[in-house]
Amino acid sequence: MNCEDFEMLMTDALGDELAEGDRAGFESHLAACETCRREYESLTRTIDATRTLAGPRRVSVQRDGQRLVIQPAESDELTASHAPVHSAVRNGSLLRFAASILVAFTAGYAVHAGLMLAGDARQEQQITQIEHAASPSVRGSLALAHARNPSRSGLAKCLATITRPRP
Amino acid sequence: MTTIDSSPGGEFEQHTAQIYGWAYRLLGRHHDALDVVQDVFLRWDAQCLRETPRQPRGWLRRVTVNRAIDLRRQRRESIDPQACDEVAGRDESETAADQDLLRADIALSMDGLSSGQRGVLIAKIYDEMTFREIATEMGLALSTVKTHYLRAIRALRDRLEPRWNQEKTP
Repeated sequence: MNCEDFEMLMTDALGDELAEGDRAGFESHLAACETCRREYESLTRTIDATRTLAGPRRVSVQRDGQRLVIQPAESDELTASHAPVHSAVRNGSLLRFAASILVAFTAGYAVHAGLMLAGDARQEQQITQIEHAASPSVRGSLALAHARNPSRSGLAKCLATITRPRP
Repeated sequence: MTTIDSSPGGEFEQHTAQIYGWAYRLLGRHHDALDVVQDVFLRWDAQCLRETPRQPRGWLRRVTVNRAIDLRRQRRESIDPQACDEVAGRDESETAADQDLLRADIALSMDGLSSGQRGVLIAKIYDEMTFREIATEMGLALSTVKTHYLRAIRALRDRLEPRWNQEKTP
């Protein structure tokens, strides 16, 4: 087997999809060719390192009426910066948390009221489908924009034009 | 996850946990991942006003990864290449900071990849899909998927290897 053929099998091996019939030839070339062996070992190490990147252990996605609520499960991998919303309360951010809830409620009410007046239940479901207390600004923006122009085309414009790079 | 309906919004809901997971792996912070979920939802809804994607999960993965990388670039995380090299020179055990460095390296490497290469990498490593499944989902030839995968891994290796070599040097 030459190195070019080996490279084709190497991709399969890196993807854990090397066919049994190819295994003997693959391992034989691996043992005989130092260049290919080093390449394979460095790429394997890369994949292993990438796989170790911690993801969320568990995340719950729950529907609450028209809303989806996303919460990470309690985990010792979570640091203070990853803490769920209630930790902001314990950390002394009660006023900000209460303000964000108030803004969220007002924005949600305005959106619901506007959309119900427009008589489009689907719009309401879409616009309020995702909410979480930490980011009321998008919902506030949607509510204000919709209040200015409650038509369906206005809603489409709201959705298309909201870009919110955060500072 | 509770009731799933057949509307475009319901389609999104089926993948919400996955979207969050893809974003979290690249960003490492709950609220940043939520921001990405929210952005992706707005884009999904705008897309569905025109045409619902035929392969929703593939579309969502691609947009999520792109958005997470954009967000990382915008936020200008405190970890820059210089800082990475300085920290890697010290003999530190695996910590949250090391994870952040790894995330930064992966995100920086992905910045140089095509959208297809990014999608294949995430689908293979984190979603554990076969090459054939990825080809079907992304509408690519099997050989193209394998080529994308190899190039993406090599780009990551080229980013990570200097740090490993530095760790070896006494």
